Amino acid sequence: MNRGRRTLTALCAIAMLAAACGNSPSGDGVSPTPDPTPDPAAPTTAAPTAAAPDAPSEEPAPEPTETVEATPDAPDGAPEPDATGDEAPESAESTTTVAVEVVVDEPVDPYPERHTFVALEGVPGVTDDEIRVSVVGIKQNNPLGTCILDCFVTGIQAYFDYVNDSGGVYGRNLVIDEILDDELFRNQEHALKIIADNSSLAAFQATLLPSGWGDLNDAGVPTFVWNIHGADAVNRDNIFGNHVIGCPTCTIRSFVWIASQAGATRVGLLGYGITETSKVCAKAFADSIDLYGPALGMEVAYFNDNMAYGLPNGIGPEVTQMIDAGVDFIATCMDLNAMLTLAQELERQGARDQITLLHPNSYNYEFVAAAGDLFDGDYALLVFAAFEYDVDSPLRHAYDQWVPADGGPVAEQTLVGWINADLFVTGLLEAGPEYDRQSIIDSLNQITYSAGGLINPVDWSRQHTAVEPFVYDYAYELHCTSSVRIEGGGFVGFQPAPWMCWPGDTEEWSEPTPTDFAA
Amino acid sequence: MILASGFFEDLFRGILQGTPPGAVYALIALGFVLTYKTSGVFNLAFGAQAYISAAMYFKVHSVWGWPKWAALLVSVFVLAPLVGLVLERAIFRHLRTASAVSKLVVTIGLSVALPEIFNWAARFSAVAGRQITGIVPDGAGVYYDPFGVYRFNRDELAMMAVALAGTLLLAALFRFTMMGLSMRAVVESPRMTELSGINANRVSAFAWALSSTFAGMAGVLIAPRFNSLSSGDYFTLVIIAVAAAATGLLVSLPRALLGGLGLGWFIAVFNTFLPGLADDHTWLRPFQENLTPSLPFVVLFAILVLWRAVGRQREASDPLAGVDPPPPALAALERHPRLTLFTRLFGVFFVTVVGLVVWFRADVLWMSLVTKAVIIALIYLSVTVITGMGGQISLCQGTFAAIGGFTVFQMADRFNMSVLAAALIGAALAAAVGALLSLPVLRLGGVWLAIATLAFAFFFDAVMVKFSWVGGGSTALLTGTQVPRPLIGPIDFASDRAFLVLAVVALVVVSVVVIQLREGTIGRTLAALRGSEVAAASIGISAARARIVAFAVSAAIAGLGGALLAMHQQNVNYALNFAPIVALFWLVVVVALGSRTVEGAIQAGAAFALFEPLILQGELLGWIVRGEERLPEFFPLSGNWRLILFGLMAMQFARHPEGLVEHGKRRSATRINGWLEAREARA
Repeated sequence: MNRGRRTLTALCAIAMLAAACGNSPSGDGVSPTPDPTPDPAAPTTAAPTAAAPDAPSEEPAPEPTETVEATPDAPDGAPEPDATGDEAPESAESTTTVAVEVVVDEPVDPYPERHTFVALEGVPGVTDDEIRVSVVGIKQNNPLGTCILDCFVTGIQAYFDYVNDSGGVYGRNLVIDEILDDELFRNQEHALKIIADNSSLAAFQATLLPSGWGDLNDAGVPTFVWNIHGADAVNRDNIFGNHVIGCPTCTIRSFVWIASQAGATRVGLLGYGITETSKVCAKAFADSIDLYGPALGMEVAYFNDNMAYGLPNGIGPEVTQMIDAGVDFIATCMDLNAMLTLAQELERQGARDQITLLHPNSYNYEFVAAAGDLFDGDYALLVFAAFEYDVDSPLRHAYDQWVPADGGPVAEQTLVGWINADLFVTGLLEAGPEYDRQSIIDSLNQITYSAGGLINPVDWSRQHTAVEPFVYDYAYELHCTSSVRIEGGGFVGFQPAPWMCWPGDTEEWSEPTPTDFAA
Repeated sequence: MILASGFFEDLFRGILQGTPPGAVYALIALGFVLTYKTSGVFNLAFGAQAYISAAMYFKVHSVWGWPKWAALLVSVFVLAPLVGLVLERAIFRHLRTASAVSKLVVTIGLSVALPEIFNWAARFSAVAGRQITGIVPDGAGVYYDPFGVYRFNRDELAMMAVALAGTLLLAALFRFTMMGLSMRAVVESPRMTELSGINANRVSAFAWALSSTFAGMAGVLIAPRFNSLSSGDYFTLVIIAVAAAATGLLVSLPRALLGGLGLGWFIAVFNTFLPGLADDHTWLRPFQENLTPSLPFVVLFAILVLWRAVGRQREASDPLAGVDPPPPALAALERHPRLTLFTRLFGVFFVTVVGLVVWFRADVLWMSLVTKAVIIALIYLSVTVITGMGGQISLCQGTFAAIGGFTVFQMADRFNMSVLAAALIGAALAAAVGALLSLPVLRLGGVWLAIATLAFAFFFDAVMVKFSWVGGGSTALLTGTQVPRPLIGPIDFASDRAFLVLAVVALVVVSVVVIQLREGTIGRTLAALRGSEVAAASIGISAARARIVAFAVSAAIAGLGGALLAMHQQNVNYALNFAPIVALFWLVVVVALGSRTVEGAIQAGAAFALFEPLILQGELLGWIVRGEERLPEFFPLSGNWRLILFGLMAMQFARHPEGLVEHGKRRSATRINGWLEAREARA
């Protein structure tokens, strides 16, 4: 038998052997089938924030007793958008409505054992003096050029300083053990390092390529993340984000509502062709306009989800087509640098004043200020309560005090770190003084968490699971938005409340309810 | 008539809208041609050079507050030529007679290393929304509308003017000046040029200073188009502008200018008309969806494949190269038998010790890193086949590996198929794609083949990955591209240790296959072709068949490796593992360390996965000094150093084209052989 035949025979044998093999059932390689029914025993009451241990704000979250419609005079059906879109329908300050009215009983500290010290053996990252965590994020090689790791760390550190200032937790100070820059490509390596070192109780992650989340999840490390990666967090019970991704393919009432506030009638939609996330986002916007638009006098006039990433060839032809199509509102699923290119091209073609933009990723004070008045009249869509709204929450007040004190900017990324840190401490307090990684995870997976009203409440007992259209078991109880308008190189609130919400168990159109989760 | 008038107005507007980006591509394409004509280097680091000057300009003008003319002077007329001179002196002087492919590899390394060195030295980084001020006053704020259809700002007009003026001046330089003639002569044959009394070193230095200055000027002129000023932006433009340079066959300046402008016009006109046509004719919709993000790469691939002149063009080669000695045989073939025995025994000992340490001492991180090193080494064997044995450069090995990874994901996800069987299917699929790809590019060689494979890699990246039957589409958005570990009977490879064993077995099997290939008919055929294609053809060897086989085998190995990597990480992680830029990284590491041998690939795999954690993070030194606390304060070193060292590695490749490993082996073998022979003689 010659060499070639021998090689061929050997390869055939390997092929036959491989074909007879199976796949390992362990690990997270195969997505576990989600339990279609949430645990009915799981409590759904919003957990109190872990913040301000000795402050009067440590009251338990009260049961809402009465809800008053925020916009009692709003007519059914279509809202009444301002014709030019230049003015907000109501300023946050001028509203007299209250989203949620509550009755407060005796102030009770929900965590009376907050300062109880119990000696713990064998709990990673926990000594008699300290509770240590690790932070991984992107700094070097960040293609967006935004502050991610540094700001995220500042938010966490500021929160830890805030808690430590009042005695820490269970007699221990909270400490960031190590900060690891994943340089875009080394997330898994750093995640494995955290697992191998076994010297951190929990991990925090703010990254663009989260290749290590699965490993942290499998290793049972409570992991608190900047959750822009739905696929990497979904079905992983040990991963807790600053929000949940929800349903990328579902229609979005908040987007249509903002368009209506801008007086939109003919909407242009843009997405990158190279990323599925961007394409699906643009498609969801289009579906939303198709579904809700007719009742509000809106239609899709231009749709292009094939833009080249980074817009190396500019965006001149597309802008011309949108102008020719009579577009008066453009929503995109593109990054902030692309929004600047788009706005500049609109300006060049003399249409900037006639077309309003919806920015999905531009809630960045420095970025918007640097653009001068280029973005004036545009809207920015957020997943947390914008700083422009008065959220009467101890956690927000503490953030406003402690983050600047730690040298950090008031910005999305510091807030994400802050919220993640609060969620971690909430898990610690829920677990009790004899805690470990698993008890923290188990505790968090039984509560609903709203970061003192800074985020749409997440029911962690069921919201680790992917959400699909018209299936509401794993969706938010309320579908909400907190959006702001750009004016004078800055942001201003225009909603009557921090959040505008719709029922989460239907995709039918309705007027949004002004809501304040901090109330 | 109205329709016609509207059509022509749209067409004209589209052309005008494509002119500013076209001028950008033209500037870069001119830079390609200038560098190629004056140094014989297809300079993929052009974007990096442009970036350095642009970033320096920004720093000097916007951060330090110097006036524009001073910033321009420092960044373009001081720093840029200085960079060119350093590159010439440190690297390209040693590469004058090297193949165009070798030079290409070096420029890939530099394209990564140069921006990192600058960023590290100047403490510079990209900032979102950063507005770059152009060189002309109020460049972005003042518009001119010469035709009443579309407005250009001053920055864009300056860019167009420099592109045009640059073409004329450079053409005049080459045509009418002695220096222009000398530069071209040095590229053809530095030795013959020196015989004519011309100082080749001086001419070469001038050429590099000139081309680098042009890169700097282009960088500063292009910068206002960016909103963050990152080196990645420039690299993207460079890749797109390759199509424009190809229209000039890398030698014609006017064609490069027209190619750049034409590319900008074509893309703009395409984007002007196709969306509307696709709305009216739904059958056009797939073309619109898939061509729009990939147009530059499709254009590039079409130029290379369909334009016969590209295939006919021969790279500049030194007429005196015929008297150069042939490349030496592998060092292992020239070793003393005792040295061979000792080397093998030491190899077995070393592998055994490392294996035992890893097996018994490695934690989850090191187990993962070692497994990754093994799998990357397996993938690198694909480079051994196509480059080490076949002498061809493929810049799409990451794409072949991605095909393997995605096949495993799809087969396991859709059909619950055994991932091992799926891995073999993935390898077969990659082989088929490799063979198919090799068919249209058969007549291309050297740098053109490399460019064609690069275009294919970017096409796959822009178009194929988003298909649901490849990358998972919207389903992957919900659940990712997760891949399970394999199971063979009672053996569950879910555990990291078990999977490492599987990876090692796969590496051994593939290594044996590669060695068999090298020593068999295919290897000897490829060696013959590498020596002399004409001579090989004269004895009946089919170059086409051999290349198809080489491509197919190489792609199959990469596909298998990609499948194993996906199993190892339990996720395809395309952007992380297989994006085109990653494959460029791979290539430089393998060829720099040694692409001709299996050992070279294995050592390159180990270097890729283990060098940083072991050396840069101080793990090895910490073990030696017994404790991380005893490490010098500068440990762990910044990740920038990895990229800087990567560039230095590419520079070393310039001096040792056979690879650092092979070079080291040869040098030590020569010494020990001499010592052993002397000892035997004395005995």
